[in-house]
Amino acid sequence: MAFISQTTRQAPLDQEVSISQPVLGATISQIANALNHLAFAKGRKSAIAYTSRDNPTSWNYNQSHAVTNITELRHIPKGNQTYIHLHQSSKNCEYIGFVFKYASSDQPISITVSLVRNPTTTQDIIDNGCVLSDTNGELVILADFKSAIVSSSSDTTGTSSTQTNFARPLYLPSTYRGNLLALKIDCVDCKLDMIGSYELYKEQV
Amino acid sequence: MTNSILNPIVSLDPFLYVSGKEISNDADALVNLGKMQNYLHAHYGAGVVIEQKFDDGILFYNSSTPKIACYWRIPTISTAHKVFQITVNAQAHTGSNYVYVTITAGASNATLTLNLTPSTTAYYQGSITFASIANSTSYMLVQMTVQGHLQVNSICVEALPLSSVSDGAVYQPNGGGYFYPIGDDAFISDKPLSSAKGRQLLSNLRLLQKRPRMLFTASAIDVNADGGTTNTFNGGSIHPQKTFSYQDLIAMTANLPQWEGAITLNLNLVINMYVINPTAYDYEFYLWSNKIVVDAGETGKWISILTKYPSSFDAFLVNLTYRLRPLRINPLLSVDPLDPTLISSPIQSISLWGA
Repeated sequence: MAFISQTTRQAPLDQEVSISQPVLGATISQIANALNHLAFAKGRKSAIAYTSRDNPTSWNYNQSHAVTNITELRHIPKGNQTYIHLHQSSKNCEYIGFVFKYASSDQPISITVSLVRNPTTTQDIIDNGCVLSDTNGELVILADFKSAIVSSSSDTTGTSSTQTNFARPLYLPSTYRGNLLALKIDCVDCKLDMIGSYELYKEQV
Repeated sequence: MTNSILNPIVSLDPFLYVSGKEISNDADALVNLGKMQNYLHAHYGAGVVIEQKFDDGILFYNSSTPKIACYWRIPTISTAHKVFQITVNAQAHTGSNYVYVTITAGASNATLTLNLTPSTTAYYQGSITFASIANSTSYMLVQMTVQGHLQVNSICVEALPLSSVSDGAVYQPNGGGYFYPIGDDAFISDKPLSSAKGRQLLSNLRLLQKRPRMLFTASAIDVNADGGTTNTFNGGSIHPQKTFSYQDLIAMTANLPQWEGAITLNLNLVINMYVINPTAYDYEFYLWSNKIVVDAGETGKWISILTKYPSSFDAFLVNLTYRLRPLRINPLLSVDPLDPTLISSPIQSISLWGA
């Protein structure tokens, strides 16, 4: 595998491909390096979703009370919710990591994350992903209006066939790379404010 | 001429071209340079550009009068990226109920009409294809309109990558130049590696480096009470916010993928916000180091901020071999600096994209 330079991101100067001198190997090498960076570093796709929630007061009320002390906060979540978070994958995507911002009631909470194909139809699971909960220490119960962030690690050693208890990235088999996929996120007694999915490649930059 | 896309996508080996080695097309070393550029032109910047969820039936509407509920701005990837796939999850009552998604690209606009199945919650998917996109179109407006008795649960808009790369130069408004597809025979063994080809590779590379990536967008919900204040599907009392509330802004912690080279290359970050301010006070807030003032009585306008990536890398949450930069809009400053507890913000829609 080619080494992808940490430092060579600048495109070569125009003079280095001028008619007065041959195109040097070093120039082509710089172009190759910069293309690698685009394809394997900057080109990694992400999808970030914001969740609109109900608020305790109407827009008309808020409009007329622009600077009133806030005594009622944003909708406190209770109950369960399932999110289908769409992600259009790159052809070279190997893993998908995630970041969630969640808010909870004071009940025991859990978030089950899996990766599915055909997200808008059959929702077949291609990676069972992981279960995050307050009992395995991945989540924290947050009473009242509070929120916290949980993210996957970059530890890709977990297998794709069994559910694991730590937040690992989800593996994307080569068959599905380049397709529209989804993170299926089943929440128990908590809801998500933000969902972010981020691609990981094998190449290091 | 065929302009193939590199497949599979493998990294180029820069050591093939260094001194001490003959520059040749052995193992397609040169041809793959062109195919990689074609791949990047087809795929780079494409993907999900809008994704938003609506919990608890907050986007409920019950009226036969069409109403624009949400709107977002997205960047033009290139004038060749003309196809957008739209996925909506919605619940419909009996009768005829519709969700319309309209994309406006300069003087052109196109609408996808989703006719919802009565008494069903389902995904609906369709696409919008523009015949052409003008060179002057650097961004597009996406609007979602609702009509009938329905509830929208989520929307996703994707800019689809090109399935193939056609002959002819393609204009990229964000970057202000043309991408020149690389023909498969441009670097074969009996062709000289001329300075013109070097220029072509370099020009394409510089343009691709300036191509925008959609980072984050969100829209408030402008149905107000026009469609009713009780969600008849779940019986809940709903308060959709025409502008983001204070709590919304706190909740809005998007972690943006940041490329360290963005600072080295002095690349731009574009922030678009639609703002209104019906109060009698000016409204000030900060987005990173940018101070934004929305004048009292503002009835609605787009603010576009051209800025740079923040130079601070102090906060990132997950090691994905690249860093994530949290986006936090500081909602603490307000019309009254002594009482920074605002209920409403003036922001109705926000979008970020960056090269």
